[in-house]
Amino acid sequence: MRWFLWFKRNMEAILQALLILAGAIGVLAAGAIVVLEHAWVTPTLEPDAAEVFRHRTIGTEFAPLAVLQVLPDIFPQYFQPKAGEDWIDHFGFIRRTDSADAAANHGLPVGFCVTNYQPSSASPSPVPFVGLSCAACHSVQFRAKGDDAPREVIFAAGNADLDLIPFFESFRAAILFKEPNEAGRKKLANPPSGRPYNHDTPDLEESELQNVLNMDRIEAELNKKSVKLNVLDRLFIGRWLAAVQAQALKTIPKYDYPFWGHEKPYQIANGVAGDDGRLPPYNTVGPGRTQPFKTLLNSVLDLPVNLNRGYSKIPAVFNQEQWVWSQFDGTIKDHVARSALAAMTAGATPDSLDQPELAHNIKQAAEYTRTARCRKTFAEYFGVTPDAARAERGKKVYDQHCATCHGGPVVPRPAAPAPYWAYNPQDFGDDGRPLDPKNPGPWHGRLVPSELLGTDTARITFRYGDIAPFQLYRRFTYKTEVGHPYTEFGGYPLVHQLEFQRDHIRFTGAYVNGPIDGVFARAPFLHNASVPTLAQLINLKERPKVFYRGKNRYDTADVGLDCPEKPDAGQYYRFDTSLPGNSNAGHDYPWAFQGKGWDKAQLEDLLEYLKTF
Amino acid sequence: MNAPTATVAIPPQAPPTRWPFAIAFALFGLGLAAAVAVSLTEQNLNLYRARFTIWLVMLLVTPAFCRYALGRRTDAQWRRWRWFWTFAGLAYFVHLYYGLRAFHFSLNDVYAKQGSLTATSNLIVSALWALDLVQIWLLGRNLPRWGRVLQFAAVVLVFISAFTATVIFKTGYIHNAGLVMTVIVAGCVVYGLLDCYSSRQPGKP
Repeated sequence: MRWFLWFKRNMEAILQALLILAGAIGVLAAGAIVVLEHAWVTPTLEPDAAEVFRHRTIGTEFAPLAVLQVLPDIFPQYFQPKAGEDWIDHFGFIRRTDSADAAANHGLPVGFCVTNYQPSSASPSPVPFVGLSCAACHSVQFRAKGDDAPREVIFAAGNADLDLIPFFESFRAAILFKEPNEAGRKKLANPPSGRPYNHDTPDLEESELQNVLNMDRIEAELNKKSVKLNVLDRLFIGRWLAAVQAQALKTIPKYDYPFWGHEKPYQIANGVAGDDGRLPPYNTVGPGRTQPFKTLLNSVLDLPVNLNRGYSKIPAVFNQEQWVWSQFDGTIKDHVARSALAAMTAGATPDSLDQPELAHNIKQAAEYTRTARCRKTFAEYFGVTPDAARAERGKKVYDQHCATCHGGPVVPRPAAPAPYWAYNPQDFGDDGRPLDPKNPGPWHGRLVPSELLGTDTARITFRYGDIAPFQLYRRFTYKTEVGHPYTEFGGYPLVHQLEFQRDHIRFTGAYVNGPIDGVFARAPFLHNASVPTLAQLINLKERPKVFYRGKNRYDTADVGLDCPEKPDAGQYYRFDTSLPGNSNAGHDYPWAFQGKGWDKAQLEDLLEYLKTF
Repeated sequence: MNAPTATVAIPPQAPPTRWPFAIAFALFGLGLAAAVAVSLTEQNLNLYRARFTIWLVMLLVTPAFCRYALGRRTDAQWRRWRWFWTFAGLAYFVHLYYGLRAFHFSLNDVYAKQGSLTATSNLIVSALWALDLVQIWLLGRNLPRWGRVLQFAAVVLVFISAFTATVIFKTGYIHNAGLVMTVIVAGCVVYGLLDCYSSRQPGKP
């Protein structure tokens, strides 16, 4: 009883001491978190714009490094379904060839970066996350036909092999895919009334299923690689996993189920569904392309945007200083805003992009694209020298039929960073207004009415396109109410570091003229990548109606991708130009194929000249 | 002859107790840790830290408002008010720091987005609260007249600011919390006024 009497006598002092101790622990904990945050993330304002473009995050973190490293082991069916091919090959990313470089980046491909920013918020994290830099999409490594040796990476060109959307659909499938838990397995083993379950459609309750991707599984796979997680790792990865699984479930009405993982064998056998998410019918996008405005509008309007067929090839972003109004449809005047919106299509948010380092990276990436050049000529890259005499003749054809819209090279080619392309939208673009066909031009940077150009219109007439500029603008002024996380604040009046002017983003309903420097590296052609080669684009050769895309070799004779008419091991994606958004019609310059004025010899000369760009 | 001197009866003072400090400090410490930790998982670190710390301010400042309204005649009552007022102020300055960080520490941006009235009143409230905390810790209870005026202005402006920011401009939980704060403080003011009035009635001590 003595201790009790002592306690009773001192109870008040003890309780006070406990409260003060609790307060002190709270203050110390808060201080420790703030100090640790600075240790987890030390913002680096990288001065080298090229380094930022190639290797630095733009707020696109999507998974912890530890998780990404085990996903192919847990889900080989999604990430490495074919023998001898890992996920980097499978989805068309570019492997880092320098072993030290690759090791330093955990074996991740070009354009993947490891940071301590959390996805979506860019809040500091003790756990490394994997994000993307601009180069993940905007870099290419061609392999010439008959020559498998990978050539050097051309930065700022679009990756023609990249299956970006299937990659993220695989990721979503991994997040969402469930399997029977202990109770589910018992139920399957002992079906009621002796009726065997059809394993394609087992009658399992939600409580009898568990996520395949769970912390136990992740840790088990990491242990095989001798990687141990500490308490903080488990805490943050566990919290991330719970949040991303809840978010993926919540957004199924908006995004539908992933491309695969929910198909049944009989559906696959009957051709209703594929077992490869890179293929139609689910993947209507195909290699080297995205649906940028579907992704943006999914985010901004919080709608499925299912009717969108505004496919866009992953574009080259050379020489943006000569694009006063950028994008294929000339909708954005501010290059920083363009880079920010491009980052948003890959998972960045206005919140993440408001972090000082990430806002800096966006500005630096935009600066890089402003003066980025295709560093190699066609001849230097492929070792194939164009015929000088034919190219000289081709120049005349080009000047007569192409230069009015596309400008032309400065001769002799000046040293970088001076522009080597003569293009003056400031003088001839009339601030990106539609061109007047009665006016002889030049039409640099002018909008071309679709009835004049004749190319597929899905990219410029998509649903909600007219309200997109305002909604995107509002996102960067923190005032959007629709689906905005700050709705409950009634909109929060912050100033975004990347806020842009309202009149720098617009809806045009037309395509815009632009320079075509480094044209060989822009293959395949037209905004929707529906024309594999330059020979076909200038109508020297007939454009194919159906062809197969994948890891196509480069055809140096026709200047573009060598696309077979039948699938093979490397070319798996059937590109059907009769489908909505895929039309390869239009841009019949200098002449329609075998139409009025068509001159094969002149076109051959023109093709030779285009090789000199 | 010396004039007779009037003697003032001083009520017996209770010995200082650590309860007000212990409670206010525990609320402050634990609340701050929760605000800092939970905001790590939210969409915008600075914004949510500012948001969660304003909840903490309201938790701590409501007892301070009440004590002020009910009167601080004894040292114990005054100390109780001072601890809650002080920790509420500290929480407010954490809120202010993360709020300004959300604006990248640009006063121009604050004015551009919040407007002159809101931005200026926020700055005045911050300055008055800071000055009052300095004077109550340097001068103690016996403030000069200007100090009492400053303190009154600080308390009233903090209340008006909290009421406007939560009940008028916000919706959801924070709006409801503001309403609860207002009802409690209003009750205390009414009680304090009635108490004061009744104590001045003839025949009352």
